[in-house]
Amino acid sequence: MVHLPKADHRTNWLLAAVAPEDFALLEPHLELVELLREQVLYEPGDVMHHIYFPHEAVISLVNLMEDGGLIEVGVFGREGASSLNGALATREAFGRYMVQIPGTASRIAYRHLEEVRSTCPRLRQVLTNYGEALLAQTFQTVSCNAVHAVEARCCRWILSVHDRVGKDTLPLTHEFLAEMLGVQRSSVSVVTRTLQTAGLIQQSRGSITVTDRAGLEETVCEC
Amino acid sequence: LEKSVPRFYFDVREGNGFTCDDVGVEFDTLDAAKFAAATAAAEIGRDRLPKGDTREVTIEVKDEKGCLLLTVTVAMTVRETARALT
Repeated sequence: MVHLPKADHRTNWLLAAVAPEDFALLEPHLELVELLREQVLYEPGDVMHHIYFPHEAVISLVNLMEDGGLIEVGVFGREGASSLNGALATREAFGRYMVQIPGTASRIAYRHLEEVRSTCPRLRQVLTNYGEALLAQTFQTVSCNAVHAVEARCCRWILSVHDRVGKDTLPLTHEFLAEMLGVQRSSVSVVTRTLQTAGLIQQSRGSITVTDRAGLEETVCEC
Repeated sequence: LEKSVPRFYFDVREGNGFTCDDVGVEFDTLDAAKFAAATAAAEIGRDRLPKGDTREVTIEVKDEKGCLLLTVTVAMTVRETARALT
């Protein structure tokens, strides 16, 4: 991990939503870090020392199954923060926190966030609101994973990353996408070929470019 | 000398669609590749077959030289009786 000297921490929308006076208390403890593709921040059960507020980076929380399979159960981008909610009590990682899209993030040590949080009711409210939104999103993901076809889930995933990254070209392989969705690689290949034929995305090796966002929004499920 | 792990390529045919696999994936044994192909065919079939625009999904497993090693096909048949048609 590379530590960078200058940072606009409020590129992250959650930090941007914090009142200026509260942010002033957090700022001395925030550091900018560069997250690398597929970098593992925490393994299941690890004690987590930092909370990450991504800028253009995207972090996935991935559950590891006994048969070696993976499935993504949470995504954290510029709209939020990784490892914030589950960890306030035990600080133990629920699953593997890994970097899905590389880029910068601000991070803060738990103990510093806790110090500021305990004295700032407004900050506590902002974090509670985010926690509720994240839980609502998780309930939706549970439903989506159980009942929706791979094509709709694939569109949903591409759109959710597109929202977070803010760029049209996303560095993604079919293998990685299949792991995140908990499906076979061939299923992803068939779906992305269909989406490309329909003119919604353009594929090249190791990346997917969104060419028709509105079209993807029509193909996606309600989730 | 370490023997390299073989790479397998899964091409998918469903209806008029053909998805060519030019990346491939490593498996220790042909059996492992066969199981993965069967799982993938079943998964693709689950989403595509009930829609009715295709009645068969086939995965062709090829080796690094492009030679066909095995195929896995899942198919769906829907038959209506005379009574259903009245």
